Amino acid sequence: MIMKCTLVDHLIDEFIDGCCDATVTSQLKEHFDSCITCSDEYASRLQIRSAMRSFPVSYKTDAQWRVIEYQILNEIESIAPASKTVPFKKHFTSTTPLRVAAVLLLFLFASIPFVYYRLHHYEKGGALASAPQVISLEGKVELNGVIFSDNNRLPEVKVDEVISTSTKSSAVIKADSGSHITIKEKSSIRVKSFSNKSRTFELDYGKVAVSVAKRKADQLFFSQDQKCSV
Amino acid sequence: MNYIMTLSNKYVDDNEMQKITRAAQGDKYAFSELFNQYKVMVYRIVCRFLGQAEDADDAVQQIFIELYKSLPGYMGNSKFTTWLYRIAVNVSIQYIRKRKRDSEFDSLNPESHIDSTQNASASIEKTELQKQIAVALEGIHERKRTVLILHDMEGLTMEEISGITGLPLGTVKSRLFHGRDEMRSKLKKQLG
Repeated sequence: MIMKCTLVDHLIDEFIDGCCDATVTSQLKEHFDSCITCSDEYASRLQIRSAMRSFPVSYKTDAQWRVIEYQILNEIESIAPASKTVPFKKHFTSTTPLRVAAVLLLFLFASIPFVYYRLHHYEKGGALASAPQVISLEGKVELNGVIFSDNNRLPEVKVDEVISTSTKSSAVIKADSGSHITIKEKSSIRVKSFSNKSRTFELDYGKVAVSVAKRKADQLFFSQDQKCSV
Repeated sequence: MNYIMTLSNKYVDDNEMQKITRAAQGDKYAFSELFNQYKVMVYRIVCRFLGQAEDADDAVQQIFIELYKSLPGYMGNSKFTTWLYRIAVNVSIQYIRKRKRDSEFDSLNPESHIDSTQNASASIEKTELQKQIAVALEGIHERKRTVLILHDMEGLTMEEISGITGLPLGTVKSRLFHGRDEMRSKLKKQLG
C-alpha cells in the first residue's frame, strides 16, 4: 500500500521520534524511496531535529560555578526552610474572623446540654459532677470504731459503716502505715471489725473492685462477698 | 522522614531522598550536593530558554533558591528531576516575560551558545542552522516554545512534559505539533 504525501507529512515527526510501528515504518521508508519531495522533507526535519538536540550550551568553569554556588548559599542563608515557617498571610485570610466566629458558635451550642445538666444538678443540692476522684482516708485508727481523719467526705467511719463510691470514682482507705485499701468504681465496703491485730472488711457489693495492699508489691484482690483481713 | 523515604522508593532512591530531606531541613551541605548534582542540567535548560545571556546566571540562582524554598513540599511522588524541571521552566518563562516587560529584547546570540572549547570540526552548516533555530525559537510563543524545548531539545517524553507543565497529554501533543510547524515555516523564511 502506497501512502499519500499528506499522510506522510503528518507521520514524519513520529517517525523521527521512533513512535511508528513496524508496518508504518516500512511503508514510510518505501514512500521515501519513491518520493523525492517527502524524502527531502524528512531529511530537512531530521537535520533540524539533530541541530536542536545537539544545541550547544557553553560550559562554565569550576570557579564560575563556585561563585554561583556561593551566591545561592548566601541567599538561602536568610531564608528559613518552608517547613519551619508558617507564613501568616497564607493562613490568615479575610474570611478567618468569620471562621473563628463560626467555630465559637458551634462550641457554644454544643455545650448547652452540658451546662444545663451541671446547673440542674447544682440546684438539687448535689455537688458539681466531678471527674473520677480518689477519696483518700488517712489517719489514725482507734478501737471501737474506725476513725479516719479525712479532709473530704468521710471524716469518721465506724464498724458496720459502709463506704461507697460513685461511678468512676474510687476511695482509698489507709488502714495503717503499711497497708491501704482501694475501692474502685461503684462498690461498697463494710467495716466489719477492727482490732489491734487485725482489721476485717467485707464487701457489700461490687465487682472485682477492691484491692488490699500491705506493700506496694503485694496486692490482694477479692470480689463480692469475700472477706479480707489485713 | 521515614514516611517520606517510604514514599520515595518508587521515584527516588533512599540516598537521594535523605539528601533532599536534609536539604529541606536547612542542611546547607546537602543542598550544596544537590546544587552540584543538578547545576549543569539547570543551566542547560536556562540556556535553551534564555540563551547564554547575562541573566542566565541570575535565572540559575533563582531556580535553586526556588528549589530550596519548595523542597519541604517534595514528597517523592514524582521524579526529583521532574520537580526541578518544573521550577526551571517556570523561572525561565518568568525571565522571558521580564525581558519583554523591560523591552530589552536581548536577542539570543547563537554564537554565544558555542563554547570556545567546542570541537573545531563542528559543522559550519549545523552551526548556522542552530543560529537560525535560536532566532526562530524566540519568535514562537512561550507555550509552544516550552514544549518544543523540552521535547526536541531536552529529549523528554510527552508524559514527562505533561507532568512538568501540568498540561493534558493531548495539549502537549498539539502544542508540539504546532510549535514544530511554526518553527519550520520560520526557518524556511529565514533561510530563504
